[in-house]
Amino acid sequence: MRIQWTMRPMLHLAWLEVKSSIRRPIWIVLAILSVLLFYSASVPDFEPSATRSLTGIPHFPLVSLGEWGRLPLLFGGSVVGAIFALFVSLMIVEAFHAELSHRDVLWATPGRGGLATTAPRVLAITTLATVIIYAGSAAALVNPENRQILVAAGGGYVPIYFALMWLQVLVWSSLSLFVFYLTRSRWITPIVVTVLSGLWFIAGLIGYPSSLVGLLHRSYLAWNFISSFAPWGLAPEMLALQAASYAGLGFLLVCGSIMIRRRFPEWRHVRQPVVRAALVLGILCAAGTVIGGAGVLRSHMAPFRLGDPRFDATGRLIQQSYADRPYIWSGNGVLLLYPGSYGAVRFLTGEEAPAWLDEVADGREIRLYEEAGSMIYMREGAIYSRRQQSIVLLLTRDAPFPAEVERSVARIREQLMPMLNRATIWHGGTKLYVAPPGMGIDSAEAVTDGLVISSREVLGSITRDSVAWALTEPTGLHEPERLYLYLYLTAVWDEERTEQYLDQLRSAACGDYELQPSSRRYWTPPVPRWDISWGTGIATRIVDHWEQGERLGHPEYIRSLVKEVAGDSA
Amino acid sequence: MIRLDGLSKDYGDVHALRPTDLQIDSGVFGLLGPNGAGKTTLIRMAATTLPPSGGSITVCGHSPVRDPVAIRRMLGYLPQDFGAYPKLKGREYLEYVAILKNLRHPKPQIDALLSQFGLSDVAARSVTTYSGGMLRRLGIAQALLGEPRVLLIDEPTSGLDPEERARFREYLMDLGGSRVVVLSTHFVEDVAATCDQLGVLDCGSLRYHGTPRELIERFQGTIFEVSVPEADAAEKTEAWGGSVLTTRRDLDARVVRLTEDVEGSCEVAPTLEDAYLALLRS
Repeated sequence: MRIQWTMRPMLHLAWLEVKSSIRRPIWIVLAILSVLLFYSASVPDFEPSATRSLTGIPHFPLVSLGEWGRLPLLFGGSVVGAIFALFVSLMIVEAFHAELSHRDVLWATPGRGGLATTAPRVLAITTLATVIIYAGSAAALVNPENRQILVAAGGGYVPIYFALMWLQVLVWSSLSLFVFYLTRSRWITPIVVTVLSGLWFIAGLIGYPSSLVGLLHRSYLAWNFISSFAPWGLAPEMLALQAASYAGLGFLLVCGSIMIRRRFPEWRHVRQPVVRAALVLGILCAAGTVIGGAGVLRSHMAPFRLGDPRFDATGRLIQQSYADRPYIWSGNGVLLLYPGSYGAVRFLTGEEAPAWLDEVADGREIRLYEEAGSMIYMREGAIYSRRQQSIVLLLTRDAPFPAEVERSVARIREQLMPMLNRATIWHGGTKLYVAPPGMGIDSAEAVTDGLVISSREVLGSITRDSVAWALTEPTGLHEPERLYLYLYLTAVWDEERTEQYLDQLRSAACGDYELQPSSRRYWTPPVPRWDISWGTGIATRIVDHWEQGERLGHPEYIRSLVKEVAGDSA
Repeated sequence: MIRLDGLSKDYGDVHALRPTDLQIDSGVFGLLGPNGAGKTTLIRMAATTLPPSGGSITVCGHSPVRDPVAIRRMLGYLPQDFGAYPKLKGREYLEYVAILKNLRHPKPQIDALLSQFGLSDVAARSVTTYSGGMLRRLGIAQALLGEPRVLLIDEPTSGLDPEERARFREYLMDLGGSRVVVLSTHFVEDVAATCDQLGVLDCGSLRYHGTPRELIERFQGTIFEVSVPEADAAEKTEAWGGSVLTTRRDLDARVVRLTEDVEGSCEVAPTLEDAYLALLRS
């Protein structure tokens, strides 16, 4: 009964604070800003090995509800976090500045604006701001580019992500309260909070790249690198510790605020033993969890087992090395891969895979992804050398995909891979791969035994048509010939449509049908220079190529076409 | 129920309240004095919002220094600069104060107070839209929440129009009874209309403590009134100097009340205002 009585007025107080906050216009600005930000920018995949993640918000599409749930969290760890912090700070300052208007009444009440009355108000504003940010993030769901591939997977994580975001906002709001009672200025407070939040982000960009502190900082910014592959973070215990440390930090800042205002005469004689005890608890909680988090990260660093590395006569590093589990981070803080059992080796950048790699692969087919670079110092006799080396992860083909990306992966397998397989005809038999999301792969050069197409490009707003058209580019053929190749590629997943296109082309060849931009609704290959004049001759050429291909077999005919062009250019 | 033993408050070299002994019992006690007399300082010390510099004060036996929470539990306080929490509605503001006062089930009380102070119709309006009088009535309503044994009201009628002041006095008259009500004001009419006991503060010193009647009786036979032509008024009042208490116009003449028997004056029965002003001049 006692607890009920304690909780009810606090909830009522929080509700009153929500109502009064809603009557101030700041939240509307925050809501509009959230909608704009989340509509225009999709999921920033936080991959410390990819510099773009920290330098700006990449326009990646959502693929699941889980990614939507992570979206505000990842935004909070970016420069957008400073903007959110500004508005949260304004909401706090407006609410607590109003306290001054009735402070005499407040001071003459039994609680006297102590923890029991301050905390519910802070929590109310925190909750309101979090709801606004999340509601704004729903704009990402109505973005047509995202909606078309969105799946429900990962939706179960959303409440957890909401709670984590709430803790992040709690840090901003309690920091605002602390700065407000420290400076007693409604103007300086939002500026200080915004600058501190911005510095917190910027320090993650530029600070201490090769230290545990740096890794810890980046892990905090990225919520332990949560992604569809690691929805609980790379080390779930680290995610829990981060959440606890944010709660502790919020607690200590709120208590610290109450303590620090005692330096003003009117609060000087307020004795608050409970607040003092809570402050100590908050400090212990925040400090303890940060130290604990550092310990967790240290235990998850990939301990590479290396003997004495040495170079052979050709300068190649021949020493085999393995990364023991859990192989998550290298010592310099670079994220290697989502959790799982993978082998890892390293050899010099630009070198071909050493022969012993087959042994490592243990008979399984392997793909190599260059993940990070680092420098090694080696001693050969009396000579020291400094060489660039790569850390390379080995991923077996049958590695499982999380439910959140299943649909995307299915799309790759069912629609894109058959096209890619056809396109090997003019890639000289080189295998083409589509890298799954979350692999930290940015470029085609990453794979040593074939061409990789970054999954982000094919999962996003770029259509299958544009991928098909892009695949024809390396042939060096002219546009009519490339269109023929395009028709051949796209026929693999929509034969009926290809037939429809061919009928139109045949009509155009006979002069019965004029192929021009206005007829684009019938003829939609993503040809970049669509405004060229399409005469009957060009349509005839495409149809001729197709018929020759039908007669001789498309692969054979395409090879001859490509060879012809190669011969011409030689 | 409020006892001051040598209570004082200093701000550096400024003596806001010199050592004062006073006993305030139940009923309405008027604390009268000019601006800067130390009324608000005394009220704030009793309200536990200001620590004393010397002496002691007890409210219903509790010390604001040693046991402020016990006092706050029985206290209703309307400060001089009363401002309600902006962006809350009238009823919400009372709910807010009820939470601060740890009141259980405050709704019936809130309804009754809103009705008593004529705020029921505007209870759903934001307090920022309230007039000065409505805000003061809301202030007294919040002070009365929880039926406090001690009610401290600081300058409740300042800034109000005459009608609102008269209305406010009616409220104040009903507040006494078994509780201690301390009404700080510089309006003599407020005290005359509402108070059983009176204390006059001037420059931080308690100049008088007793009933209004006793104060009037103290100056019986010492107050005179004279009517002078308007044309001579300035010259004569200057000549009479510090003995002039009040002046008022009466057609083409000016009626001057003073503490000196001058030519043409006659003795009059003092009012509380006369007695108060005479006390300050003495």
